[in-house]
Amino acid sequence: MRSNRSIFTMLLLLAGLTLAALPALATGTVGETAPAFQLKGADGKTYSLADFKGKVVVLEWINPNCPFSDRHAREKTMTEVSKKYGKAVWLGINSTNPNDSGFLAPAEHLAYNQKTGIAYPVLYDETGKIGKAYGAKTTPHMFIIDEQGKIVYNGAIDDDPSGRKDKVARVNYVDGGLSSEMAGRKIDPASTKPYGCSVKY
Amino acid sequence: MGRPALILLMLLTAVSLAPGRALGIAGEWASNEQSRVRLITPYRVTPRDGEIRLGLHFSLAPGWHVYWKNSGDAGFPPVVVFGKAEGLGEPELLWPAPRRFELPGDLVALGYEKEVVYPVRAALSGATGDALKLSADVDYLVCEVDCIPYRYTLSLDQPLGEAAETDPETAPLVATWWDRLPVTAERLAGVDTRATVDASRPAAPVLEVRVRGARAGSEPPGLFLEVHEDFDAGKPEARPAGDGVVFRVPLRLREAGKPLPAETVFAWTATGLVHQGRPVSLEARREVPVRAAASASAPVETSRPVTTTLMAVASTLFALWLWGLLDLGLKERPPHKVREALGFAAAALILWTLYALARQVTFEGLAWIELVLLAMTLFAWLRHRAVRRSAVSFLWILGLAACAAAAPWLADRNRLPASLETVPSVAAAAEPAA
Repeated sequence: MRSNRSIFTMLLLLAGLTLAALPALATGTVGETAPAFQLKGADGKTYSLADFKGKVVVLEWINPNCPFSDRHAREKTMTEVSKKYGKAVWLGINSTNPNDSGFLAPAEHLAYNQKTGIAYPVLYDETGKIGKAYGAKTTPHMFIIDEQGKIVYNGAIDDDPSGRKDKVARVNYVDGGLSSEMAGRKIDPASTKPYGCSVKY
Repeated sequence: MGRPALILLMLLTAVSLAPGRALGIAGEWASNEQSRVRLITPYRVTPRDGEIRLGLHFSLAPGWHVYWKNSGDAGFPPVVVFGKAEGLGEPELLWPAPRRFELPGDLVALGYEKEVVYPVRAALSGATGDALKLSADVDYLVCEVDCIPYRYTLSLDQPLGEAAETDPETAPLVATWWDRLPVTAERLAGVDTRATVDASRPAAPVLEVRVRGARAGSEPPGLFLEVHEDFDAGKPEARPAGDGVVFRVPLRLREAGKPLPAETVFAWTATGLVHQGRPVSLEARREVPVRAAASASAPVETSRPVTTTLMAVASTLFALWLWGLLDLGLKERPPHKVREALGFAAAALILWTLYALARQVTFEGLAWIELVLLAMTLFAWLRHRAVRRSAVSFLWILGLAACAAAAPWLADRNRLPASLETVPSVAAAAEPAA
């Protein structure tokens, strides 16, 4: 019987290994359910995606030490769009690794938000788990989640990576996306290539 | 003050007051902590008509890089706007073979480190004067882990003359990078590239690019895709095949549930190849067929995952019986040693059927079937442990039967359309690189 048991253990191990080798499921794809999260904000409060069920949610991957993220903060790109669509919830998420030189402590982040006029909450994803679950690649990287909790936009904030165009000449994909979403139309384009610094996982 | 000293002073003043325009074959460097950039040309003098070659020359601090036309996950490629000059056609910025940089968090950057000259091609016709006044507004991003955007206006006065005269310093530099430009695949004798999207798993299509007539060189071959509207690309794999290389790139639809097109345009650069003894990169832009579901499928074909799963279930039961975990009601059992050997054969049969199933059902389906087989084993073991025949022991048998029945049902639910079964891949001939 002992040999039987060891064979059984072997089979169990084999099956386990096969299961472990299965690829990770796709993430952050438009049309899929937005991965749930519960993260602590720079303000000390805890925010959960489930709290905003039934609302349109915008996620912005942010890093004040990234020149792209910082340029948009100074130009108030996000702040203005978030104010324009008061019904939508806007959340910044900072996935910077605490060991990275660009990591900002909550107090510093709050001071930065005040200086640049960011009024929406900024959440800390220090392990990078949520960033990876969404496939967040750059700062800024934008996601729009519809009232049913599905991702309806994944990509860049606008069509001007170098920031060379006049602000009015830029196509702001999130502004356009929210306007379509609020009017019940399909967002087009629903995905673009995000630009900026890489997220400092 | 003596006359010579006065002249020297005047000269010095003239030099220091001279505008930023450099006269000659290399413009002035625009420098920052991470990088320097300038315009260069390979000529001391160039004729007033014909094609001219220029270069956008970057020199980078260790660890920092600038980008290819598809920058990868982050960043962006240099954006260059050339100023108008008399007789100068619209210059075209070209992209030499890039490299792949892996960043923390499975992010990828495609570009160049240490030094790069982006070749620029332009046409001259009827330029007048002694010099061509070249200028370029350059926006670029230089990244290590951090990224810093810069913007400069670069300039260069290219002397014009009757006869061309190359510069011994800049000409080899421009030539080196010009040589690293990918060659259009069709232009190389004996080279043939073909591509298909293998969509046998609709959720995980794979772009397959086959290059024939150009082998892997001393550096591992690489495949670099331009940005595609509908697909994100994963890490390409390359392996030698016959007299060429096969690249496979996992793709992911950016929008879930979007139907796969029948054909789609992909553009790529394949690097690290050797053609007729010379290192070469190839570029191509192709309408690529997507091998997806065919509409009609024979009934025999569609029943296959169920049959395969029944085989897996039967082999599992057989193995459990051989190992004494399950009593199938047979009085006579083969001798101990024979049973052990047969048990391994049955286990091998299970593995083989699972392998066959991998081509017939989805990833998720396969995972479920494996779980169910595992549960069968668990139930058999639990029943084996229960010495007395009790109600609990009956429950275990019921569980085992339920699992055995669930397996074919799961196979049916998660089947891939019959015609989508994986296209057999080319047998890789393990030949040493040329």
